[in-house]
Amino acid sequence: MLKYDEKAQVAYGCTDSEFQSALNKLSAWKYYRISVTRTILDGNGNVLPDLTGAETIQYDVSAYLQRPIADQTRQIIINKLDGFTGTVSQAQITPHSDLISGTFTLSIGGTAISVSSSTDIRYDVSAYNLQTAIRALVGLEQVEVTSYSAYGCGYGC
Amino acid sequence: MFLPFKTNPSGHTASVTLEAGKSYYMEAYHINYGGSGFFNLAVEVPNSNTDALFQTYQVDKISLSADVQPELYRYTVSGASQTGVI
Repeated sequence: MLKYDEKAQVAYGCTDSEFQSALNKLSAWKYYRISVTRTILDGNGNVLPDLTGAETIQYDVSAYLQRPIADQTRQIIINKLDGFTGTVSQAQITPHSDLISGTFTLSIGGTAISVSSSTDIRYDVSAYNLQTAIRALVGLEQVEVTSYSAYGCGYGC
Repeated sequence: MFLPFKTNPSGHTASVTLEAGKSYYMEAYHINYGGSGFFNLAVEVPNSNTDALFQTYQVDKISLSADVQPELYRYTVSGASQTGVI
């Protein structure tokens, strides 16, 4: 889908939730479970409780899901309205970590399971292929394998 | 057959620790407004007892996980303003 002319208006000094709502109107952010933290700083970099004496306002946007490179490199163009005398910058501070990858080995009763002629089983092996491999062992012909995946649930899975 | 239970974890109840010799009551409601419909009710009792009386199936779980570090992006607004459009 071609997206163009996306706009989201925010007021100077808006809250983090307002900033988040604005970003959620943009396709580069809306699908990736974002959260926003606002930090108000004075001219010396000290954190302020409100906008009084503010020199800099930072909005740290955390995207829990991994965004495509196209979205990561998509800089938002800041259109200044009348009365805007400051500057706005945007930068990626931390990239998203790599998603799960690699291989694992599985042995049953001391016998290594091979999938596609390899005992190094890909992390995303299909339930069917793993089931087929296990069923090749005598006595395990009735084994059933199902798979379930969830993103970002950590050790709660 | 209990395939939906095994392939759809959202259909599972929380685990219940069973006590030998104790009866357990299960109840299910099923409403069907038209067409064919059915529901399944099954109990999964993991064990490795090979006595035919207790034959169910053994369940082993293989979990693969990775720590997720979210992407962090910073927008910095410096100076005074009224309204901006992003």
